[in-house]
Amino acid sequence: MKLATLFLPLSLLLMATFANAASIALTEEDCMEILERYAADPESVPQHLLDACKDMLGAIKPGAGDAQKPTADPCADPATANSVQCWGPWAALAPAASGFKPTRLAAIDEFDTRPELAQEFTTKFLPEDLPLGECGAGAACGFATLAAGLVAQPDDTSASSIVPFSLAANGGDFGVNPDAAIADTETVASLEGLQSPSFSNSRFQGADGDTASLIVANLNNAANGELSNASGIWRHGSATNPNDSNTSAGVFAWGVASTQNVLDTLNAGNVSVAFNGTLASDTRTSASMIVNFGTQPNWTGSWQNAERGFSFDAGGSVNGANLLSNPGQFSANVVPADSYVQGVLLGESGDQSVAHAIRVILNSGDVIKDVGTLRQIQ
Amino acid sequence: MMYQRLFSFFGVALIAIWGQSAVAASVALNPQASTVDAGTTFEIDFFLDASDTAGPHAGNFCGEVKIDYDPNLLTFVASSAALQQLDQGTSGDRATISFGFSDVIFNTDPDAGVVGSFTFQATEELGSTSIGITDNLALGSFFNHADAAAGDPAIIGDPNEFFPSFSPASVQVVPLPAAAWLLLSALGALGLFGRRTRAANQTA
Repeated sequence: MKLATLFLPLSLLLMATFANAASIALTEEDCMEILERYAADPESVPQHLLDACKDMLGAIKPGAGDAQKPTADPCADPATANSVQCWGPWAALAPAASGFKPTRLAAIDEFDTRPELAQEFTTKFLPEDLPLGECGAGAACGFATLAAGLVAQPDDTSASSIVPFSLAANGGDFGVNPDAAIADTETVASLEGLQSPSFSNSRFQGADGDTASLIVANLNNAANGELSNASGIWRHGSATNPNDSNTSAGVFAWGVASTQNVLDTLNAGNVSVAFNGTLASDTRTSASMIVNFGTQPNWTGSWQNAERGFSFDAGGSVNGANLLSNPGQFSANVVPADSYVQGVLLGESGDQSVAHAIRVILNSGDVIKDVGTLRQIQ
Repeated sequence: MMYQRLFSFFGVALIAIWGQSAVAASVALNPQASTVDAGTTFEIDFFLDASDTAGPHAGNFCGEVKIDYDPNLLTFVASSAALQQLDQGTSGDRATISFGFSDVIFNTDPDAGVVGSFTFQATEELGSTSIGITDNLALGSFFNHADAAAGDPAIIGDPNEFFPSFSPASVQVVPLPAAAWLLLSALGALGLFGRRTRAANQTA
C-alpha cells in the first residue's frame, strides 16, 4: 500500500514532465502544420494549441529580408574594414603561426567559379612553382636531360631526369644539375674548342686524367662574340673506357635570358612573337610557340612527332623571362598533374629564342622528357 | 601444334628480317689494293655508312677517328683534305694518328660514301700488316649535324648521335717483282750511259 502510494505520484510527475516536453516540442516544430490543419478543419485542433501557436508566431520579429536597404554603401567608410560584413574574397592566405607555408591555391579549371577573378588565378605563377628553378632577366640559364651511360638521345626517355644546366659563355665549361647538393656532374672545367674552321665552334671537349667531358652543339654567338644560345649533346665520363659505369650523358638547351629592358619593351608594345624549332633528344619532335607580351603575358605552344605518333598542346603564363605551363591548358591527351613545360625567353628583341624543357605524360602512357631551343620566326 | 610451329617460324623469320634491316652505322678502311710493293706508296679509303643514323638524310656528318699501324712496315705520308690531322702518338709498338672530319655530305641514297683517304708508304720490310681504326673519343664523336627542319644538309642543326662499328684494313707488303728490278736497272744503266756520253762530248 505504501509502495503504491509512493509510485503513483512519481509516475504522474514523470508523465507530466514528458507531456510538457512533448507539448513544447509540438509547439515549436509543428506550429505551422497545426495552423494548416486548423485552416483545413477547425474542429481538429485543440483551442489551447491554436492559441499557443498564434502567440508564438506573433512574437516573431520581421526578418532581415524585410529590412529596409541602406541608401549608402555601409562599407564605404574605412572604419568598417574590420567588419566581417564588409570583407570580400581573400586575396591571399596569411602564413600560419606555426610557420607552415601554405601552397598556392590551384585554380579549378572545369568552370569559372569566380569569373571576375579568373584572370588573376590563371596568369601568374610564383618563382618557387618553377620545377627547374627561376631564371633572372639577363642571366644565363639552361635545361638538360641526364641519364646514365653514353647514349644522350635514348629512344625511351622515361629513365632520364630533367635538370638545370649551366654553360660558360666561352663554351669552356659546363655543369649538369649545378645547383644540386647531389648528382652534380663534375665536368672537366677547361674544355677546348677544336681549332679547325670547318668544325666551327660546334664541339668542345677536354680531359683531366681519365675524366673527359664533351659538348657537341648547335651554337649561336651574340654580337660580342660570346655564346648567346646553344643546344645539343653533352657527355661526361672516362677518357679511355666507353663502358665506364660513371659515364652520363644527355641533351641540353641553354642561353642568355632576355634583359628586363627587352621584356619591358615587348610588354609595353603588347606584341606577339612566334617561335619554332626541334627538340634536342628526339630531333623529330617539332614545336611551335607564341608568346603574347602585355600586362598579362602568356603563351601557347604545340609539339608534334609524326614518327612516334604523338602531339599535344600546352599554354601558360610568363613571369619575367620565365614561362611555365598551366595544368588546365594542356590538351586532353596529357596527364596534367604529372606534366609541365618550363622555358626561358632568350636574346634581344627581334632575335629571340626560347630554351625550354618538357616533361609530359600522355594518357597513352608515353613519357616525353626533352629539351630544346625554339627560335623566333623572322 | 601445327599453328604453334607456323607462328614460331614466322616469328623467327620476322626477327631475322628486322635484324637485317636494322643495319648499324659502320666505318671501314678499304685499301685500294690488298698487296703493296715494298717501298711504294698506296692509299686507303675511309668509308662511312651512315644510312641508318638518326636525323635527316642526306645528312651532315662529323666525327673523329684514330688510326694505328706498324711503323716498321708502314710510314704515314698524308691524308686527303677532308681529314684534318689532330694528334700523333704511339700505343705500344703501334703508331697512332687521330683525324677529325666535319660537314661531310654524301647526298646519296643510301647515305654512305668515302670521307677521305690516307696515303702510306710501305717500308722495305715485308709481311702482312693491319691498319686499325677506332673512335678517337671514348665518349663518342660521331654525329649527324644536319638541321632536321631545314631540308638542306648544309644547314647545321642540333646533332644526332650515332655509334658506328669499325672495320680495320690489312695489306700484304711484298717485294718488288723481278721485272721491276730489271726495268729499274735498265733505266739506271741508260742514265749512266747518257751522263758519260754528255761528259765525253764536253771534253771533246
